[in-house]
Amino acid sequence: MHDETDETLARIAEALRPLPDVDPAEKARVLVAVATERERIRQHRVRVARRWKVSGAVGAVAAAGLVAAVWLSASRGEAPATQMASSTTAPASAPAPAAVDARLARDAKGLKAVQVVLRAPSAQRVSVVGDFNGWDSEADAMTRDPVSGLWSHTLTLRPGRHVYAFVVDDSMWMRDPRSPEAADEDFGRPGSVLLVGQP
Amino acid sequence: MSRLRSLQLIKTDSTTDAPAPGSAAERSVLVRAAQQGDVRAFAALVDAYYARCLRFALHMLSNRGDAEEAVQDTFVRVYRALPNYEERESFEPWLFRILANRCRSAGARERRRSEFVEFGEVPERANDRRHDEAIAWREEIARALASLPEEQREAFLMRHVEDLTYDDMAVATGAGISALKMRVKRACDALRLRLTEDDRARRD
Amino acid sequence: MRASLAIAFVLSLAASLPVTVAAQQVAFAATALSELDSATKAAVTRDLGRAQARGLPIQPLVAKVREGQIKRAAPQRIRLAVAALAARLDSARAALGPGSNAAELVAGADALSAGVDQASLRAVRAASGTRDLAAPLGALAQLVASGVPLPRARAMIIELLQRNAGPNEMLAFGVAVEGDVGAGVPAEESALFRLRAMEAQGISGGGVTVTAPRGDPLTQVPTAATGGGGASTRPKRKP
Repeated sequence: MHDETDETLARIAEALRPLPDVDPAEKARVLVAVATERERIRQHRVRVARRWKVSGAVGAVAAAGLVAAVWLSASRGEAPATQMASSTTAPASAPAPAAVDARLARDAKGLKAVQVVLRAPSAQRVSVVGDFNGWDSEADAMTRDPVSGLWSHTLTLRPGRHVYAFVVDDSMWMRDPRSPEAADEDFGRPGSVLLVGQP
Repeated sequence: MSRLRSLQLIKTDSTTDAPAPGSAAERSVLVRAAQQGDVRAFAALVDAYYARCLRFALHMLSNRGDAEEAVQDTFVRVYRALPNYEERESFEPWLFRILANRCRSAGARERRRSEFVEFGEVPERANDRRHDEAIAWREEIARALASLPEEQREAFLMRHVEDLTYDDMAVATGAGISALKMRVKRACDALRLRLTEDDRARRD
Repeated sequence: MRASLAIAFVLSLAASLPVTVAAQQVAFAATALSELDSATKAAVTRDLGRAQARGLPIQPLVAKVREGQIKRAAPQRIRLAVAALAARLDSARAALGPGSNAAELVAGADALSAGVDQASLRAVRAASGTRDLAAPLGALAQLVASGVPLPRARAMIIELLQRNAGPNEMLAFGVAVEGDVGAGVPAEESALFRLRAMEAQGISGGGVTVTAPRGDPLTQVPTAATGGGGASTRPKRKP
């Protein structure tokens, strides 16, 4: 009796032990769900940061810049996403940004380094989006020269035709007026054409 | 992928054991790295534990879709809770605690059906009588497991399939060790009873 | 409701890439969809699932979602744009063949939206043999969008292929013509000029140098100035 019952138990366990087949799709699904969660947490942190925005008229811009700088430096350890600067109640009547220049440089690997520049002195955050980065406003954040107020960024592009635009303060879509317009029949927001080729 | 479809759960010829995620030291490094935001480390943890978690969830829930969902929820919660995880706790019981909770929630939602859910497709090997018997046997086990009260099923699986110690099980379930031993014993008794009866009935 | 379908499609990103890259790309795709409202997400997910089932590349479709989001487009518009791109990718594959890679299909879809027809895509495929088509199709699209009549543009690209022009030369050609047109040069004139310039410098892309133009119709000055693109013509493109 004793042997038989132990044997049964052993057979049961043996039947239950083998690991199930795992479809790679399932595991990928888990990673995606985690990535979504990661994004949700990041958005939550941004919302929390925004609650600290400065509402006084005087010193709003300066204070916002300070908060932005603090927020950015505090989150430097964070992996891929760029932290957003806190938005402010700065006046909406900012002067329209004007594109300045786009220069080409040769790169040894056949990719070309292209610098894009935008004048937007009262902007808090500017990024370049386009076909080369999947329209991801986190991928190519521009940096601001504190003296001139110019935002610039160097893209590494394959030769050919590219469409791009600037996103200002995560709210304004800015075409580069000095570059040819790229029509947008899908969404009605034309971008600009950047032709990268052999000189 | 529809939640309603149950796929074949267990390979007929699989003898693989749970892949050890390296040594305990390696595991601890992975966990720490994941805590610091290393996506690759977290993905490695998922790789290491996914199959085991799915095995447990499948036996608890009997439904592939629910099981996958429970495992996915588990890893999301693990990710969320990583900042609070302290290294003096062992990772596996901590993981299984989250997994067991997810399975219990899923189980509570699952509708009780009178007929057991189709366990899987029988391969087309009609002339292999032993093979058919193996499948039938697994289906019986599945039915027997499903007939157990949830706590007993959980305790049985943790002890005899996942090989957790009673200490680990206490962490994973929040129950006392003597209560857990009782649950395991009752589960074993019930399974033995049901399956030897079925076994005898089949052989006759 | 679990967006299992939505997640399943990103497998094409994860399948053959190392874990880190796959995880990042998968994560990026996931965030694009997660920001849609549930009805649009369901519809787009269905379209993506169908596209993937047909073997079409998914990344350009996800990029289209992203583009719509960054442009603050209405969800229905995003959905239509994704469906339209999927249809173009399908047409491109019908013309270019099922063995075409993702870049070729995207270039084909782009060309279709610029006004190139399927017959032209087939002709370019036939002329290219086993060579990659992304650059020739891109150049063709640029020519047509800039205002070069389709038959002429097609003939030029095929000519360049037959002379073993490499991808860089193709790209440079298209870029030059589009740049010229933007500066006010009539499209056909620009195309002819640029083509002659390439021949004079020697087309060397495939390692075969062809220096002497062979007196074929392409290099002759057109007798009638047909309506090529004027300076005011904006290229119509749907990337």
